[in-house]
Amino acid sequence: MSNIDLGKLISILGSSRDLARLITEKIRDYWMFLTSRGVKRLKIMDFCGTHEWTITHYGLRSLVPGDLELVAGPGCPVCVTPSHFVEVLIKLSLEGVVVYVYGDVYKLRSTRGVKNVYSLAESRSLGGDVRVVTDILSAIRDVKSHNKPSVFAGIGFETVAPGYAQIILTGHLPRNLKILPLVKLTPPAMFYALDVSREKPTEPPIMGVIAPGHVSTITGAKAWTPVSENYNIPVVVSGFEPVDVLVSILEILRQLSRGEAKTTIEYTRAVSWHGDLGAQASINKVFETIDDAWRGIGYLPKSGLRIRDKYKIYDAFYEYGIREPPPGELKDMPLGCRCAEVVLGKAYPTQCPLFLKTCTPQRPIGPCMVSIEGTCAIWAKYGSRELLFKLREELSSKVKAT
Amino acid sequence: MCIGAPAVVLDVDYENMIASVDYGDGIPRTVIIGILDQIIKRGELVIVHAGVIVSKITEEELIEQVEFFREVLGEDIQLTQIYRQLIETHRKITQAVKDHN
Repeated sequence: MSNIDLGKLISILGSSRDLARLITEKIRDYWMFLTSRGVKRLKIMDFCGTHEWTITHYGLRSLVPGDLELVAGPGCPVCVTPSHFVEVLIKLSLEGVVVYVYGDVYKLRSTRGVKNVYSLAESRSLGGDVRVVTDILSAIRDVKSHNKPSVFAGIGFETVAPGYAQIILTGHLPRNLKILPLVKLTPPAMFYALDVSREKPTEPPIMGVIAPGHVSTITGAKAWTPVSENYNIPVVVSGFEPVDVLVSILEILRQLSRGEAKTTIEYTRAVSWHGDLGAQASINKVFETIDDAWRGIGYLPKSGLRIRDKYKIYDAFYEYGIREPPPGELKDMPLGCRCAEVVLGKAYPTQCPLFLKTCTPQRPIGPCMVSIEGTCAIWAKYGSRELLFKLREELSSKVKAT
Repeated sequence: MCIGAPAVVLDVDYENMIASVDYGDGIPRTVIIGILDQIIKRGELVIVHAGVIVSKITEEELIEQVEFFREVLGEDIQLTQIYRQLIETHRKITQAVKDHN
């Protein structure tokens, strides 16, 4: 079971419902074994926002033992984009530059604002030209209909980088459209999240990682070996169906039971060990790796991509003289917001004082509530066992008080 | 940021590294070819992430997803109908390409 072929498993068993039942039983067996060896509680971190979505939406937490905690990691690029860049985009849009963004960036709130404008949505209502697109090709199509200077906010992880690289290498970027490359690399954030989790010995340790599937189609599963080797914990590159995630949890527990710590691929349908070498080469050609700023976290070494000097005519950083955020500005969360801890798996959304009180999907305050991949937005929309427990606790304390 | 939607490739333009795909709603959309190690051909099924093709998938894998949804929910939902549409388009184009050759 070093690399797991879910398709074959399903075809052997004939039914994914039977398979899910079998997997949850196996998970419990391994858990019983681990508890007999003295394990009381442990955490498994899912890195990707879409994994958190699958876990919460399908109620997978209710299928695993209560002391086996599934926590979300920093797998939402919108959540970790510094407020500084939102302000840069607001400023550009107010100065007559057409700003193209993905839908979730549109609502993302900055901490400081620009002339009392706190989001690109507000900027647009005041006359700023902000346009929502689903991909860079839509921006390119639209930009050809006008000659105004324009910027595309290139937020994302490794998955979007080959697309931006191809557009630059094939020379298809119109002269008046510049890319603001805010691409983040996932492994350094994972190292940081694991380092932080080990600082607090009172908390159950993170003993397994469900690694992002589509990021790994580009980087290859090999990108995660430093996690399994240096931190001595199992890493499973997982697909996004509920059964995929359950199999990944099972594989982590299986490895823990045997005292192993390896990187394995569950999502064999799409992921290979080395990834797409051609895509990696095109990324390396266009981009260079820098120490990048993560919102609420700070600068992480070698964790971001910026356009190389050779291609700077396509770069919004160069065109508009945009600077990287000063380190002092990076603890840039709204007052009371615990998003910085939520993205590191240190706190659940329900532990934030703003969650579903002042911060809601309709009127998000913290970045984790903005994006559909933000942990708070997922919990708010689909609820979860923890959310129900929290509400029950609150209600019972109110009843006691009266 | 791992949301990926399956789509069927309608046309490929390798010179410009773009392809036209259908997400199952019958509307052709242009996307960037992000994978370079594998050749993408008309009629093939792919995963598209933020307008970038990030991997190829097979018909069996898509059928597996349709079966999974049908089993969990006990009925067809819009998503399974879209996936079925994708599989049908994939079969039609693949057959047409075969006949042409």
